[in-house]
Amino acid sequence: MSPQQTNLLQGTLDLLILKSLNLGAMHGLGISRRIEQTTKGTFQVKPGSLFPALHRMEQAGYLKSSWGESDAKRKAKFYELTAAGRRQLEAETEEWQRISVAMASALKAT
Amino acid sequence: MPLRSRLLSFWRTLTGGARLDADLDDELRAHVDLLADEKERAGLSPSEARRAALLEVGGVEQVKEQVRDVRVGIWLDTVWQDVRYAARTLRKSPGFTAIAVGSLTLGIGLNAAIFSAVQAVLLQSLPYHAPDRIVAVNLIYKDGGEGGVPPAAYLEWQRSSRVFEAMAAYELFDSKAVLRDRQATESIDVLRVSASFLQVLGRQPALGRAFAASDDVPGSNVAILSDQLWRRRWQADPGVVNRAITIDNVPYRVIGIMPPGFGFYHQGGYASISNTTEVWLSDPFAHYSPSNRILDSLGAIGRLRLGVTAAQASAEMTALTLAMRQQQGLPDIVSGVAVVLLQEQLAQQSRKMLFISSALAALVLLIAALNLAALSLARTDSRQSELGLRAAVGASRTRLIRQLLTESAVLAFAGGALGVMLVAWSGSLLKALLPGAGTMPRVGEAGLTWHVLLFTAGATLTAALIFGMMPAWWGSKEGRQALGNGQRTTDGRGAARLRHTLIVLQLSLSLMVVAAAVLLVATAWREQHVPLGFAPEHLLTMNVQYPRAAPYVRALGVRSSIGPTGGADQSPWQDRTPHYALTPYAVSLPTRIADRLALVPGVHAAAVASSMPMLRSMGSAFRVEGRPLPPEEAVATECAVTPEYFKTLGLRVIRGRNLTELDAPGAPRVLVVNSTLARTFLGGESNAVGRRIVLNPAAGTFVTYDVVGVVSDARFWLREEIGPQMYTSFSQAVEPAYTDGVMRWRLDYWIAVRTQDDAATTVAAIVRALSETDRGAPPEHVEFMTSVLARGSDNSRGLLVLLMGSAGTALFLAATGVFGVTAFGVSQRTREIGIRVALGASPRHVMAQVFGGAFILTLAGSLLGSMGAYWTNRVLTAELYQVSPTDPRVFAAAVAVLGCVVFLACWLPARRAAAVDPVVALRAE
Repeated sequence: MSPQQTNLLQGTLDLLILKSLNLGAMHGLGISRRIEQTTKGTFQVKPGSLFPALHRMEQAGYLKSSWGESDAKRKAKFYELTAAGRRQLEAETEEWQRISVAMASALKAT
Repeated sequence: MPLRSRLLSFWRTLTGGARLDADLDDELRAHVDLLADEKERAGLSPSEARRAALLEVGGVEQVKEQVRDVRVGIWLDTVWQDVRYAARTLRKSPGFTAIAVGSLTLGIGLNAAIFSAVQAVLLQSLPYHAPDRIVAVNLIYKDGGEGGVPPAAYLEWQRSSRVFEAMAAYELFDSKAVLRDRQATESIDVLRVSASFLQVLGRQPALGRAFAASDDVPGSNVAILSDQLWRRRWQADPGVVNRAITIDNVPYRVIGIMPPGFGFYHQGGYASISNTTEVWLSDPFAHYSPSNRILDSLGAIGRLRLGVTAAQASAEMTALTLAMRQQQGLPDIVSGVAVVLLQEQLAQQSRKMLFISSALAALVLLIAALNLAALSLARTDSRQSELGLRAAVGASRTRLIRQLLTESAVLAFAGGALGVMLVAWSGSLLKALLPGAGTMPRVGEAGLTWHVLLFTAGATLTAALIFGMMPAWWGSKEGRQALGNGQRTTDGRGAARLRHTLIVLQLSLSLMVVAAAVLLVATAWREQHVPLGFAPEHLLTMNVQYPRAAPYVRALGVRSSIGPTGGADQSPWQDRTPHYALTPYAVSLPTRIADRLALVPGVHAAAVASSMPMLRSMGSAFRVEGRPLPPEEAVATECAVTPEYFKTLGLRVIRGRNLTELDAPGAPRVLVVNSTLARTFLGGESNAVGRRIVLNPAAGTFVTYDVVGVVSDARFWLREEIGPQMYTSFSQAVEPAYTDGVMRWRLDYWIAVRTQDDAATTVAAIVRALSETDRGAPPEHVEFMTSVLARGSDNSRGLLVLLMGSAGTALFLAATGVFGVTAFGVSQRTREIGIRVALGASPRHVMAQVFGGAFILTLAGSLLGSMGAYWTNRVLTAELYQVSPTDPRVFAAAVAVLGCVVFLACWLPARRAAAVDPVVALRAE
């Protein structure tokens, strides 16, 4: 367990999930691995955080889910973005960039 | 989150809970499978891969619980689940549930009932138009008292004051009259009011018209009926309007009928504040000269102008009145004028009793809540393994807290609902519970309004939080730890300390209630054992009030008023001073009644008197001839009696002689004094006879009496020391000298009859004989002295009942609390006790240890409670008799009672502890 992994903000996780699903439908483990990959192992998403987040976002209408088959011919639940989810991704990306620029300049300031 | 999908999810959560759960199951299983596949690909064996996958997921059940927690509306589902679970759990411990629901029902019911009275008496506004501008106007006297207004002052106010939109007056005394027609004669409540009376209150008759200014003159003789009398006596016949009715032998024309529920609370003579007026009559000056400057015969009310406050009005009226006093020579006894909201004035006398009762009710509920907190804490501790299991299968701490809180909420809700039902079902409950309710204005309007329901909900919630919070917090913590330990924990030190603190608090509050109850019991005991001086057994008393009209009274015509008259600006009333005299018929009436009643079979003696112990006393100022005037006038209870009075009450003539028929008008005026008067003012019983006493029956009139006898003391009021008393002969007391000037007396007699037994037939024969003697007025308050005494003062008797009930509840709860906690302590320490016994402790030792623990709790509770009671008991001072609120004996008695209850409550657990078999106890672990 890397120390960086501990403080995963809720908003951060949501944004990472939305971003991962932007490529196409994916199951829970897939999303988890994708986040690990894209953040170069900084964020390891545990099932205890991942599944509540997925279900919450599905209820919010950003995601929709369906049962399908994985590459290994296993049954799995796949999630994909809805139109609302795409809009949310855009909005959150913008927001995040604004914050990160602000944070960066704040931290640079002496 | 968009509303639509939120609602949709909410709906899915509610309806498809099971399906959603199954889906989640599948999803997580698939996740584990996928993870295992991944591990296998990395080179692990299938079984190793599976194990690693499960390890990585970290508890499938916990994940499921976490997912469920994010579902929209899941709380409702959980709440319902919790409620069902709570109900199941509670059913499994019926003893605890019964005590919890029972004590909460009592506590919440009591609070709801008393709050309904607070709402009706103190908070609810009066049923008049814009009641926040209706005020009572009273004179403040230099001795600090407040009182009514002399007619002259009222008329001057009406002319000169600028703070009122309207003012009105009503007659303070004389609230009884006789209504007579061909059908029946009955005594009714009347109120003489000025024409502006209804205008000030802003109410109109439902039928007919209100009083008009033209009715405000002598002899207008118009009447407005109450809806209740109109229905009872005339079966709601609208034709009654404009008809003549006969009140006190005088014809009055009915001009209107008030709407149902209209009433006006006022001090009715010596009676308590009531709103039972059945007929409103015009002309409040009928019996009292309007030029009267001394007699406080009127009550005044007013409607403040918009924007004028009561304080401003008080200031202006005080200035006006003091100026008037100097100008017109009013007596120098008035120091100002008090203008208070009518609502305030009515609430004033009830406020204290309501405060005491509310505080007591709150205390009882607090005791119940603390008791339940201690009991459920013990219960939660003994449920550690269950809670641990629930935590293990995925329940989070908040979930456990919620579950435990739900249990408390279910109990509180049941208690609250039953409490409200208790209040709703038993309307008379309040009368029985609230001290002084019998004489409290507006208490009859108390009911289950939404204010009361809201208050009850608040009280329920507070109680639930008090007794639910601690166990929930503690239980969830213990539950989490229990599994970690993997063994049965012994009694945790923290939990035990918390439990004991709760019990000590509960015991201390209980002690406060018990101490207050002991005070009232001591008061009742003192009252019962105070020497009365007369024999109350088989003594029947009743009251008759005759109309101030023929054949009892004749008008002597109009004479000039007493004292200096006012300035040139005279009111139309100024010249009319009514004077009355008793007819010879009325003068001989008391003797004839007494003689007639003495002949009734089963009657030993009968007498008529103007005052009667426990019922009525009138004070008269007097001075002893030949003695220098004391700085303050001496006052004695004056009682006009028929000759058999002493015999009837059982008083002894100590010196001199009794009053006789010969002490009639024309004969020398004589009186008999009591032993106290003789000792205090006449130099002892043996020196009293032959002395002379001067009475001052009316302004400017002095009458000298010879003392012819000394009689033993009679106690007039339970709570008062026996003071000087004098007895005059009825036929001399009502001779014309008394009726000159302002007529203050009333044809208002008390009858005392000494009977053989308390049989109803004897009572009926006496009442029949009375009506044969005179049919002018039916007797009222027909009652045996023993029941008058048993009734006692409404306040203290009611308070006694309420306190006894509260103390009983508190003691019962203390017993359950101590029992529960001690029994739990013993069961937790079975192993320890087993070791002690194995090491040689005798059963006696073991029991002593259990009792010792309880003893320390009781000691702490008693100390704390005594300190509290030392302060709170003072509130009761006014209700106590011959007992000090801080009497150490009272505290000792309260502690003793509490100690006994605790001892009994510990008995069973102590026996169980003593019976612990060390072999069994140690093997059990």
